[in-house]
Amino acid sequence: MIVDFRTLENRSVIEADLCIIGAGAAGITVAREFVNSRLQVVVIESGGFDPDPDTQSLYRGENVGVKYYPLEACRLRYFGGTTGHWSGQCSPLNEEDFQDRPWVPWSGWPITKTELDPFYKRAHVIIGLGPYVYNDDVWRMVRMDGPRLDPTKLQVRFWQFSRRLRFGQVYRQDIQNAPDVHVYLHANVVNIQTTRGGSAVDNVEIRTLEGKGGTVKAKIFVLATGAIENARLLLLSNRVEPTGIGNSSGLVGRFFMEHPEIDCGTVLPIHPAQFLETWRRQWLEDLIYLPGFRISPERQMEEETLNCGAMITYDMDPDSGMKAVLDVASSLKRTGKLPDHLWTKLWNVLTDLDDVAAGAYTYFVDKKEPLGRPTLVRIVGITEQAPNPQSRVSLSEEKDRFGLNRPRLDWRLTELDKQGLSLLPRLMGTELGRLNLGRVRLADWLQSNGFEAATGLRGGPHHMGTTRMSDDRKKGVVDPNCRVHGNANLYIAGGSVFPTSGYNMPTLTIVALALRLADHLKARLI
Amino acid sequence: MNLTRRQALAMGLIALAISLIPRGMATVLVVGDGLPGEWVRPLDCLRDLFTDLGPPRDIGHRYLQSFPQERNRALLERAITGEQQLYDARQLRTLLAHKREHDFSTGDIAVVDGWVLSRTEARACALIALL
Repeated sequence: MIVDFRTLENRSVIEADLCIIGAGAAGITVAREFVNSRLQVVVIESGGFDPDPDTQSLYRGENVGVKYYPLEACRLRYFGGTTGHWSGQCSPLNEEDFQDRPWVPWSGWPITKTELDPFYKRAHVIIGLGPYVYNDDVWRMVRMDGPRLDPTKLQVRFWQFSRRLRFGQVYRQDIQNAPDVHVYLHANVVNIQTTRGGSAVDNVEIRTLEGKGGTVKAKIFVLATGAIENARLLLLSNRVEPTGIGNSSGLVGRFFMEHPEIDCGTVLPIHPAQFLETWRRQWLEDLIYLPGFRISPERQMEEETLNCGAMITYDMDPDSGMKAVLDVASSLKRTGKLPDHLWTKLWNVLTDLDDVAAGAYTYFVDKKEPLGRPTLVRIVGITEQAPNPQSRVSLSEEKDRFGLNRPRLDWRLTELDKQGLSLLPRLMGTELGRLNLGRVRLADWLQSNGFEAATGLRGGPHHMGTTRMSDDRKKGVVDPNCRVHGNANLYIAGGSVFPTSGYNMPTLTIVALALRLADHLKARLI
Repeated sequence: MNLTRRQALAMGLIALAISLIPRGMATVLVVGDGLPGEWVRPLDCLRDLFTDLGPPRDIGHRYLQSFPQERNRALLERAITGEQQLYDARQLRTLLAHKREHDFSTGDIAVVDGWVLSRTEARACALIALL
């Protein structure tokens, strides 16, 4: 059942077994696990079914560290959350991401990849992915001959793309029809109220933008509002514990991690069409796989680098007919409108019909993305970021419309964060050279002043680490079950619990961890 | 200007890489056969591997700027061919291909203007630069 909180009486008190704060990928996943459970589950969502500028502006905050996106542009505050602009690119974390690596300070998860594997497999179904395969076996599945890389240096790792992208649309009906799950829209949590000793949560306070208030009381609470907002809400909820909930060790908001992403170089393929045929998206009926490179675990250890991967992209000749067709299709898909310079694009199509015909054949007959006319082949590197307590979310002096401090993000990078991005294109250079597939040219920033000279440095935007998981309350905010240390009934879901980030996109892991959390909560509640 | 130089280097690299395919595309190459039994200096063979010596020469100059101690024809020839005697450009091409693969496998690379090259490739270019 889905209810607009604004239609309730002022100061309504809602009681439930489980209260989930946030209806994004994590929150919806946990909620769906309780459909037909006969438990009363409440989901509190700040937004409605569609993006709304007033609600979205609640995400605004300060950026004081590495140049970053406006915070309100990174996350979507409505039913379905940030899956509303998600590209759907998925891959699980690697084995070594979970391990304690001596050269990576604060590394190591209290759970292993093997423990998470069954949940990754279940997450595949929810996200709409294919078989749980990401290694060289995919080449065989897509009937391609992969390159014979030296696996002790460089490995192939695939990404898959979700067929159930927008959780808000895909799972709305499930939730709507569930008698035991109640979603309250337009309901903003403004305080998490703990009991007198601070050892448990008693209730959460709700406010609407129009000023209506309310309270939700539950046996168990799950905070699932994203890594910045999770930390902010814990820090803001300081009526009992002055430094905020779960913050006795001062770790809430610290260890903010992104996936720094940057062009690392270019490839000069010996046979460009053949090269791009291998490294572009591969379709297997309606499943899409994208091959990428990664530094082998052995090499990471030898060179003491972070985990790092790369994908191949390319620029298309701007005057090619196929590029014009793709631009029009992309604009219609994204905005529902025709693109700018439509006449130029039509002219390009008419004067380059050979290219368009070849592309159409590739698309409709070969069931592949058309290559168009490639010009520059790029290596886009994506790296893990080392956990760093100085990279953090704290509270800004600036207040939102509820009078609550906005978040202040101080994203920081270290030399260690750069090393994988520096090593990977060199390894690609040696391996592509050895196989005589092409030659690699390192990006200018790798030849000169490092990150400072890099103009294209960006993030996912993926937010992780601000309520990290650890056995030890002095090293983490939540325990291995995602329960806040020192609090009996407050759990956290989402990327904020990642102790380390790997280099892979986080949503698959977020959903897997949410399923694991749901199992744990069921065992407690049922 | 910068772009033009890069394009020139890129063209050079393509020619270089293709030249190192043992039985590769001969279309862009002018391959001198050499007479059986006649010993050929590597430098002469290299000359035969390229239709345009400009781009590899540019790479070679850059390599020599980074490794001035290698600015010596005899030294570079020895480094490339070792003790092996060569009779024609085809043999040199095969030798270079093997050495290229060995260099990349063992990590013996040279980064020249950002390009990740095998040491032998870079030295071959340096030899051309000393023409």
